[in-house]
Amino acid sequence: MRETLRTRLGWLHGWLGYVAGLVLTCIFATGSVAVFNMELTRWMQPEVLRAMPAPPTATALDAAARMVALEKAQGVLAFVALPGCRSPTLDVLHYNGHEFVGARLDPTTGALIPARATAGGGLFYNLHHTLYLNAQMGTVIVSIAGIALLVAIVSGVVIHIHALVPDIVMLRLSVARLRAWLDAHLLAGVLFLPFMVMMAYTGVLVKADMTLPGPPFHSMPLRTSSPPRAPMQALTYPPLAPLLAQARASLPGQEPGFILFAPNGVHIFAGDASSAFLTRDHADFRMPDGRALPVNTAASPVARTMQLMRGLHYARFAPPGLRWLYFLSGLCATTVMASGLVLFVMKRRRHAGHRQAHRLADGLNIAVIVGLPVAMLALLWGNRLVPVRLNGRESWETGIFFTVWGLCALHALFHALRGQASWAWRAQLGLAGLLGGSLTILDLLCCPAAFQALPGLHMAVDGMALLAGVTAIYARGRLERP
Amino acid sequence: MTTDRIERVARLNRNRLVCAVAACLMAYVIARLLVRDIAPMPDATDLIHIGQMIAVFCLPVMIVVAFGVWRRHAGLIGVGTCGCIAAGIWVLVA
Repeated sequence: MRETLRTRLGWLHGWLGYVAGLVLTCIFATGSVAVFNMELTRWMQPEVLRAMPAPPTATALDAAARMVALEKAQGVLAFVALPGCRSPTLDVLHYNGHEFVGARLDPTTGALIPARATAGGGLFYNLHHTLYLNAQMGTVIVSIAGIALLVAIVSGVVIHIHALVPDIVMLRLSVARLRAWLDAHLLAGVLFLPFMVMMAYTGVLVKADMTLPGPPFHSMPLRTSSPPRAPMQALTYPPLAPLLAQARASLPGQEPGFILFAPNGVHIFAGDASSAFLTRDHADFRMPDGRALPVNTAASPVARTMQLMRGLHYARFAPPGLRWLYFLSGLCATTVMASGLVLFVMKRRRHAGHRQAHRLADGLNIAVIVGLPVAMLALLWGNRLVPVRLNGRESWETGIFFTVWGLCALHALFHALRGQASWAWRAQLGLAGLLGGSLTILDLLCCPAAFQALPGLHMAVDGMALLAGVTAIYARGRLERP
Repeated sequence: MTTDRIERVARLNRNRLVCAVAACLMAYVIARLLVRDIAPMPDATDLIHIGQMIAVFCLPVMIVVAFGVWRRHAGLIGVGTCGCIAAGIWVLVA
């Protein structure tokens, strides 16, 4: 066997791509969905019927401050998220170790909206950046996968450099199956190469303090799931409306987004949607008199560059059109990885198809490529079917998601290890088609008022589920052809 | 496949695996040294960020070069030499 640069890098691309690809497919799929995390949370809380955000009134802000003080007295560090175009309510949130959860208030009256507790779109966001593991370990694993993606991209470009341009116009779905998968992998890979490089590079860079820390050689302190804090003395805060008006004046061009409460002051942060630079600029006010402290929004060019990297990766500044572009690009990047996983197994089927390791790889592919979407759709079904007043409802939803995914993985491995992987593909694609195709009906039956109040939001989420279902059924049909 | 060919393929795969692991470890150590060379002081946040930007860019390239340029281990030796230079600068700065 003659060793050349192409064969050597082809081996690296294949093996590193496969091992990291199993994780990366999940990261990119959940990341693409997490672009709409707040919209998904709104879909999953049909009790919130407000369509447009309203500026918070003094009454509502004071109600939120009282709620924060109450939570603080119970040892919970809460903050206030102001209404914005993506979330029209005034939210009192805290971090539960995985995501931000809390109460929703009407921004006009300050009345509590009896919205169901839900894992919401935050579950996908959390899966994307920590794989729902411990914050440090999960982030490091995701960063390593990001570096592996960059290595796979560099090696993939080197081995295909002579055919990058022809690959853009080459898609032959009707030829042999292996060739069709390779065409799809190359076409999507070449077209979405800049997007994948941008997301992988910025993603690794924004968390580089954990993987490539500066001196001294230790990682930064992390916010992890810590035991509940001891109850603290309840604090009273000055009226927030005047502070908010002052903050708006001190942060020119940026709309306030969050209010954080510390024992010695109130900090009003600029919202993430203000610009492509994720600045975290803030106006500070001293307690208890509420006197404004000097605001410093100056940043060095390097700090501005880092703010831009964060902004580009998180895409919180993006208007709806750009958000859809991020979503579709993310899905296409997921397709590149998923097709790479399938190719890896198909290319080795003739020589190693009888081996258990090959069958295991086939089963893992099914669990990731079909099992994950099935679990996502099951989460949406769970949101509508789990009783609204159930205690610990968000944990039930999370439980449904992971249980369904686990069952899909077991089902896929069981059939793949017996050499019947195609049966598992067909069964799970059929299930995805059923869940995706009938979500609209379930949504209309369970929440007609919400569908009527927010038709755009519901049609978008239900439509995407329907599209996923139709794609699954189409893929199932193609599998049945010889 | 003959036994001889199977053995050769197995040996080749083993060599590739060892080389890939060595390339990854070496590139990671050099990337960390790079960050420390560029930002020797813990409070130089801007320099740390510049170091991280360069290190994240160089890390995959170093892995591909160290693994891909295999003739007489030229890639590993080249990347290793860069590592020695980075370590030398670190010692000098320290």
